[in-house]
Amino acid sequence: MLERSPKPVVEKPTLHESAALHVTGTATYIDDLPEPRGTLHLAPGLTRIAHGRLVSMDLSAVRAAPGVITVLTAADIPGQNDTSPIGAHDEPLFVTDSITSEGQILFVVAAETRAQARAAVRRAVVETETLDPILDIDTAREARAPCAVPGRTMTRGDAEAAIAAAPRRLSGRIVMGGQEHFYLEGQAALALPGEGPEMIVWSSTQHPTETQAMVAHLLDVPANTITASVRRMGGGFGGKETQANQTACLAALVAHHTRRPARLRLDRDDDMVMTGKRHDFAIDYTVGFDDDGKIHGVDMLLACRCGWSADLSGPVIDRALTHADNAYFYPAVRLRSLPLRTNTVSNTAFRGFGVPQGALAAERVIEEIAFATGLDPNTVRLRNVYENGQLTPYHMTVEDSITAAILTDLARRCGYDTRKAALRASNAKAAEEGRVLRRGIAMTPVKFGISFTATHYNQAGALVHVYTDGSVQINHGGTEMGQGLHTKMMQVAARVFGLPQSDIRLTATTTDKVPNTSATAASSGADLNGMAVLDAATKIRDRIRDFAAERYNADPGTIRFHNSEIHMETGQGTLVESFAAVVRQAYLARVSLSSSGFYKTPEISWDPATGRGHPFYYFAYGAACAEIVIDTLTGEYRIDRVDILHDAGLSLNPEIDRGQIEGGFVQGAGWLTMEELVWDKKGALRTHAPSTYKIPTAFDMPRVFNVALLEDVPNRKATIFRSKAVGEPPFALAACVLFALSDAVASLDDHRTCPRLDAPATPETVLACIERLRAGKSATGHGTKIEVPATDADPVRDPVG
Amino acid sequence: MKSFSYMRARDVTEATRAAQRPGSKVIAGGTNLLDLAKLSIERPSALIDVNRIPGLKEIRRLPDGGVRIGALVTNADLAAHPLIREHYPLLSRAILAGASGQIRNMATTGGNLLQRTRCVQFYDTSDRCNKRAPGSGCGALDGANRMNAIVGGSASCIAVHPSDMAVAMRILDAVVETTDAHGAHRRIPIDDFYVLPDAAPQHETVLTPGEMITGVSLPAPPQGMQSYRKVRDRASYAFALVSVGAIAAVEEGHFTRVRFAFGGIAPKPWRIEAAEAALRGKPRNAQAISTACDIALAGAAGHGDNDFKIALAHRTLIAVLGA
Repeated sequence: MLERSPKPVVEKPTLHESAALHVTGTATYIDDLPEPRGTLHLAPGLTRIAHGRLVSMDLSAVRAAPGVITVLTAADIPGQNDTSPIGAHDEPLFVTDSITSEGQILFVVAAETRAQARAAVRRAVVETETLDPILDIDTAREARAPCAVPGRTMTRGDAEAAIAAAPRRLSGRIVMGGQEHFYLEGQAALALPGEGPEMIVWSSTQHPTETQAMVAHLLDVPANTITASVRRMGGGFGGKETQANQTACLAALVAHHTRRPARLRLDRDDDMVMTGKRHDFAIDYTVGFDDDGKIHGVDMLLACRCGWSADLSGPVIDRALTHADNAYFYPAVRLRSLPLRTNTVSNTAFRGFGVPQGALAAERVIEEIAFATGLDPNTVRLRNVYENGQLTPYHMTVEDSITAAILTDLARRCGYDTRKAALRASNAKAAEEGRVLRRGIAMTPVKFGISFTATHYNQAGALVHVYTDGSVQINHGGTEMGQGLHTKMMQVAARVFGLPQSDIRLTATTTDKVPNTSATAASSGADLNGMAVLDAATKIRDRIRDFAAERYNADPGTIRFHNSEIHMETGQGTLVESFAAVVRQAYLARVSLSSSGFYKTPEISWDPATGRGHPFYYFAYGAACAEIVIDTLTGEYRIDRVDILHDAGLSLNPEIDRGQIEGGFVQGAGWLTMEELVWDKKGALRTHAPSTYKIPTAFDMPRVFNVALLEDVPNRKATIFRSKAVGEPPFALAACVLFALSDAVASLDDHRTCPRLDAPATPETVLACIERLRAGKSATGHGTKIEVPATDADPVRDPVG
Repeated sequence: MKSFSYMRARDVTEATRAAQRPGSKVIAGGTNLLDLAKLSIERPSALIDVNRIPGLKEIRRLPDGGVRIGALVTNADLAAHPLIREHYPLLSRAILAGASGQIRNMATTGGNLLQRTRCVQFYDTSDRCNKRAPGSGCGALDGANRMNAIVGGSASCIAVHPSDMAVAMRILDAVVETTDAHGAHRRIPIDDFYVLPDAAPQHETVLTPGEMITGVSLPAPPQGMQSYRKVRDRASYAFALVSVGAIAAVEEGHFTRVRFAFGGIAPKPWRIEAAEAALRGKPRNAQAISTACDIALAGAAGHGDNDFKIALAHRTLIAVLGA
């Protein structure tokens, strides 16, 4: 149990509201909801080719299979066969003719049990005509395939001229892979038909309002008949911002036709084959600079694989563009995007939403300049970080830059300079002695723009009730996916009412309580909904205060809500009444104890046509330093130490924020190291299970992991209690892992050549990079011959024997 | 998952008799069988639970200096046992290189030896696999085969045996002890225990229907430094791309005694005694080790995705045995 704290509960490390439920296995997820009588279980039939045409589909054997109640296809949709979240009408729920990716839905089976539904799917006889698929960035560029969304150019100044006039210039390319969300709870939904057209859909979704809209369009009913609800997700990471819709729609369609409850929990392999992932990018860069490492001009082309439909690719790529500067000022710049349509899953939102990709290119440019000039990369960084007053490539003035201070502070805290010197010496000694281990270190910052670029998304609602016993219930438009949003919302309400967090009850996010909500995305959940909760709670508190002033003849200015009590100065001295007692009196005096709340972010604007504006309310900052060790014989490596200094403003909950920073960093490190998506030549995803797709485990955490929050630096903007968004920015901090690996590899030719290590830097990629460097070093034809090595301590050895 | 009957065997006789019936499967830790049953790859009609059979959880010293390990000794207990840590550190290391703490707490010695391959096509019931569906073909030969064998396979199967423990057991000349449904006991050297895939890769061991592993005995450990090195896609938790176990004694820069075996590259732990003999008396350098590796891998061939394993096996052996 939480202790009752006499102090305001924000800025305190209170427990996650569901911590006890999580660890006792009693927190309910969609598939844990009690099964209503007559529930049907669904399984989708999927395309198995990446590109072609549906010739015929014989589902008679599927219908005849044991337990099957119905089999539905596009023909059974009363409304629109479309799940495009942006109105592009390019994302049919069911394939009708053209097949543009493996894993598209052909039909859905509803049966008495899940096993029966899954077994029945296999009986389908599907005839298709196969066309050559376009699977990757290079092929799509060669084929000049149409873009998934229009490309965009951001310019400021004359980049070409600046680069041409610069004393030095270089060009290169960085390639980075995609990433599977690997939420622990897969896509899941339960649809319960009600009276007439009414339906409740419980969905593991980050965006209940969109799920509600999709189901309404599908069934051709008004939005007011559909309720979408979610108490919590077992992880989202962006993978349930739009990708939850098809699962919810399938369940709703079956419920609509059968008038029975319908439940779908995707099989993990199907989930990985069907749902979109992080966009992979190939970014070509040209930079003009001088011998001091100062950037004069930057030109980048950011090509990415969007998959078969637009989905959120447009805004993702815009974010990659707006963060292709990471924390650095480009005096002249041109950034172009090339969002390529391919015959692969439709890539979607994923924590960072294009920022990690754009920022990684910026960090590669810094690394290249460091190698070209012989300067330490950190020196190059500090010479190019934004100073306040400078303009971003999208013409927004930076006013809150603290990158230089954070980099300097972190370098001091973690002893970057001395450790780097020691590593260089130990690498030199290892080379001399013929040992195979090499160490590397790198530090990278992040500057992350906070707000949805779609300006209208930057609004939020909340609903707060105070009951006559003094207990408080809150509801808001954000969704909980483990990140602690609900906890922070409870803290906000608790602070307003002067109550402990445990006296606040938070109920499931549902479209019939708070309507027209935005996706819980863009790290904005606490910023937006926190202000809406504050608004609603403050309205009620003010009514109670005004009532108390009148009832107890107190000066309203002296009334304080504190420690579950209301303290007032009256003519007779200080009066203290319990919160519950005053609430009871207020109710009897017919004071409204319920209120909605609303918030919209001020100051922001964005013109997508010109790529200019003030899209971000503020920036969140941070920096991380990683030290790694690689085995030059096998390419294996280990992260030995990571130090992070991160800016969460005045943190609403330091422990929850620390969890977000650690988790985000490790997820980012997974993206850059071991997580590799492989499609075969026919366009079938070969890595569709944990057996072949490796995410970091607990044992992949850095051996030493020092995470610190920047202290006493309130947000300059009037956010909820001057905190800063923290969900996504730490993900991009993991760039330092890639550059630390690169630093270790570079030691093999005395740091003369930038290794241009791409991501994911699997042991294989690291080894190939090592061999490339060695081959370049000696032109005498050693080639890939096995070098004579010597044994060294195994970097991944178990602590035994 | 197919429904099955469940029986808790009181002793080995009862277990082997019940296990003899078609469709019956012995279950111990269940760390592999349950996963496979959930995926309908194994479809047992009866499970014979042997966990309560007394006397199979002991590790004891043998008069000849060796050790006998009961079939139900868990991987965790075996790896942590003082006798094993002191005299067979290779075995401890190999076990700890595999799986997770939770799995090692459940998995048993007998079960570890009998675990099925992790070949992608074996697990994908929509693909071809002669091991899972005899006669359906091998989807790995022309499909994704990064994890597959470079030696010991056949035209019908190139799956690898996934065990780390078995690689160590092979180097230690383990003998697998069994009892069959008629009460007959056998002592099978571990190399004879596994059969290579011919036309019928569903047969992986020489066990007869109902025959059950009751224990494994190890002779006294040979002289020399023991080591186990596992190379994998994710250092913390993954099956081996290539692993090498070795016991080597070196005097004045020359190998006097050496044993080594590979995991992750063949349908069984891959040890070629002729390759070891070729190292005896040779200087401890990369060239000599590489030459021995060539002998061990004679006839090795990649299938596309796994070509790299040949070079990686050389490198890993050099890393383990080199100076």
